[in-house]
Amino acid sequence: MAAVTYLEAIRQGIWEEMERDNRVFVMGEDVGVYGGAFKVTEGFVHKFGVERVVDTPISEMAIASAVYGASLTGLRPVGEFQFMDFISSAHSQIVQILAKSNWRWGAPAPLVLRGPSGGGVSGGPFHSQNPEMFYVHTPGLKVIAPATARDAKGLIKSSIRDNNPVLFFEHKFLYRRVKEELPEEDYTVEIGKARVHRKGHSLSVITYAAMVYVAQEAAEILAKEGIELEILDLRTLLPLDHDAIRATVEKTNRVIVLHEDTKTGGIAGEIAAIINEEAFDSLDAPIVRITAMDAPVPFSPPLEKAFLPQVEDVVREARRLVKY
Amino acid sequence: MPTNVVMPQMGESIFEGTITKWLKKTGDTVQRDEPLFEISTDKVDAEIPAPAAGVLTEIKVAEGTTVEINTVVAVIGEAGSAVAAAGGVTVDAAKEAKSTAAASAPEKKKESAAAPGSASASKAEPTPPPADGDPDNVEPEGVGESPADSTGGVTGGTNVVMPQMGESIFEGTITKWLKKAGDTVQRDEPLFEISTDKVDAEIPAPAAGVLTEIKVAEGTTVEINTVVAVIGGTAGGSAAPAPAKAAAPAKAAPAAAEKKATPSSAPDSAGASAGTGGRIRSSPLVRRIAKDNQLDLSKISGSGNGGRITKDDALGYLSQHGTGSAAAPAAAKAASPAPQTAGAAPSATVGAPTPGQLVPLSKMRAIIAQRMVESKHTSAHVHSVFKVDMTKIARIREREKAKYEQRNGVKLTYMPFIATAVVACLRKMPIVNASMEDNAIRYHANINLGIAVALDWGLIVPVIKQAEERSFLGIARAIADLAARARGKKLKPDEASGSTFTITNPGIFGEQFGTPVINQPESAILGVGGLFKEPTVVTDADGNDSIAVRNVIRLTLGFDHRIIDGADAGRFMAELKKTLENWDGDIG
Repeated sequence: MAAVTYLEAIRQGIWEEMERDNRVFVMGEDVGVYGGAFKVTEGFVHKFGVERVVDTPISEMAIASAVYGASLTGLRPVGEFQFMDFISSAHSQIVQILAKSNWRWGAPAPLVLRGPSGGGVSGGPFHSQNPEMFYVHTPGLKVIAPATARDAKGLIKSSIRDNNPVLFFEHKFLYRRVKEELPEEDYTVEIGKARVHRKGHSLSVITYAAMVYVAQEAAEILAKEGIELEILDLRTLLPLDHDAIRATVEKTNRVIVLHEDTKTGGIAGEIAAIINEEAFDSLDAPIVRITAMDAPVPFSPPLEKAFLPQVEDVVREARRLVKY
Repeated sequence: MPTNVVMPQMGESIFEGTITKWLKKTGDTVQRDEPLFEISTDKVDAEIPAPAAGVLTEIKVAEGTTVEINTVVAVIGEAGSAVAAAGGVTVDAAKEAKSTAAASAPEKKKESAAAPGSASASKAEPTPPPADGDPDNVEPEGVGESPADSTGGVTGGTNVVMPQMGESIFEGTITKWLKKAGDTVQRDEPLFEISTDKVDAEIPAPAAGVLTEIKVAEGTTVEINTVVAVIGGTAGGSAAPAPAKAAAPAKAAPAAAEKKATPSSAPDSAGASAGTGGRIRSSPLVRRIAKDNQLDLSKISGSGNGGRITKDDALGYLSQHGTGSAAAPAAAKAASPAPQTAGAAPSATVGAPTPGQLVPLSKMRAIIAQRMVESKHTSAHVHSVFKVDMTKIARIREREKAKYEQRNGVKLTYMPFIATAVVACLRKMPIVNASMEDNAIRYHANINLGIAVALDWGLIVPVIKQAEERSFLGIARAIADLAARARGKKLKPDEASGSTFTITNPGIFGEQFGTPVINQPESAILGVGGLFKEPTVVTDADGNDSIAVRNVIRLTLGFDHRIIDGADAGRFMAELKKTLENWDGDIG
């Protein structure tokens, strides 16, 4: 089977779940005839009909509320936010209602809210953010951020099959730049489990989404110097895979946490605290964070480049860390 | 120095408070900022945290009592302090609280300066303790109570410390030295200027004399009570300033690398080397290695930044010198030797010994030697070798290994196939998983599979406990995990003992088959020989013979003839051979 893009993998995942389970339907802006702003739902309305592919007004709050209501009636909706940046419009619904529904009323809310996230495409401050941490901070939700096409498909399926409200952050930079051959058979990827993207022994880079590829490029450069990076792709941000984090720290004793999200309040701080609590005695050097700057995402390409973590940052910090 | 806990002033117009509840009792250990007692005032009820860590040695004011603000209500002594006799209900005015409030210097990294015991700087009349919170009435004393210690080479003399300018201030920056080393200063003459969160101030000299040493340079921020200079005394060391920290070293503070900013200063500070000031730079991991192996860090030279002892330094030292004590922990105990696992190099020396040299045995080697001989004296060793055609498994491996590793994060080697088959066969033939106990046979409840691992400095047998409950994937993962941790010296003590059957793999060196030594108190051991492509007679369905090239391995069962007879061994091995040659299990 030919390799497919990350975006196509997501499309396939949603399509297959809709075929598999009549209760699954999609809802969002321009998802119907237009096929979605990024074409994730291309062809869906022709196959599944307008009742299962629902165009909405431009209101993320309405999308979040509607999918929640639908989930209460036994349906399994997949809501789309055209850009995850706009999730802030739905914040109250997500945090107050969706996240607490099962806890508060015993009413499960099996739904997925998905959309493109992240920068590197000169999208500017409203189309390039990484808003995931607002929701990692909200108990009751699950937060996913795949990096590979294989994981994107496996995880969107798991998310649809999961009975909890799942926020699915796709990385727009990866949509068409990442391709992979996918298994023929129906497969899912377990939520809450990280994946070792690259085995190594000199130091670990714990990361997710587009930064996995930044780490990979850095790893190739460093391998020539005998520094072998181990790259751990978190895949799920909530719940975090503590076991995998511990295992990689115990293996290499040196850690860089790398994410495209801004520094303050980014998951690197959380991971550093976890490592401190659970694997302190395995550390041979301080934990290093490489993240975007604490600033809105610039539009201008040279400024955005300065803002985002680059391969040379990872290379530089890795070299420094192995000598510590 | 004990710390006084005072009734705080909760607002400008509040001059007293009632203790409603003590949350700790005398003798309790308290953490800094841990809630200590509850109060009620006109304006607000509040929970008051402990201003310092230590032992609550005395409660002076009982629940229900109303006292004026700044009254000392309790005393926190240093850890291990004796507890005062049950505190009476004496209501003391604040007058006796003279010591600087946080005499027990905060141990945490300076950025974690949390809200202090009292909510706000007091402004009221009852004499506040000096340097204890009233910015209007501060006498920045900067006096260290103790004579200068020998840090930095000055003996005797008076320490000049960074004063505490307010209750919630825990650090200050020296903005300017008004005198230089060698100058004579009068008592109370302005000595240096500081800047803090709340106030900038000029700090007078606490004593008259010669300014012998300036320890903290301009522009440096230090915690309160840090010794910043010394007046008088005999100068020994240089006056080179170094960021001296009075408090215990910061714990593993995440060295946040600001994207493109300079790396954290601590690791790169050139001045700090292993010996200075008695602090040996290492890391949590290194300290753990040292603790587990009774190593003396002061004997290990550090190759990391600033002379830091790195993990490699510690492990290198360990491989050269072995562990520190006679009753060596898990490593030695688990050096149950039986397997003649290749690669068990003599660990006492690094590099080849010179001809004629007499090298003493390392602890591990001595124990291995002892155990090997003991085993031979205990069991009636018999060895039975079976040739096994592994072609089917080899093909499965070839086909699946790439995907397997990607899917499961662990390599698909031959070991999990053999181990899983062994477990299945042991279940069918429990005598092979038994031990002789006095004059009886103990049929073990579980199958705890020992997997011999060759280490650079010896050998060890980590154990997969209750292997009968694990799937193929579980066993594969356990093998990889235990081997990796064994090599990294991270096995827990109970992971290297308790095996009921052992598998050893000398075949990696190309051996045809081995005759391994039983790992006491077990009764059998499986030695896995090398895998070779060999011409073999194969018979097809019609009964025609031909010669084919097959992947062949020789498995040796070393068994104790006291309880296992040849027939038992033969049956076990036949079953094992059949299982492996006809593999159809799920590999996960």
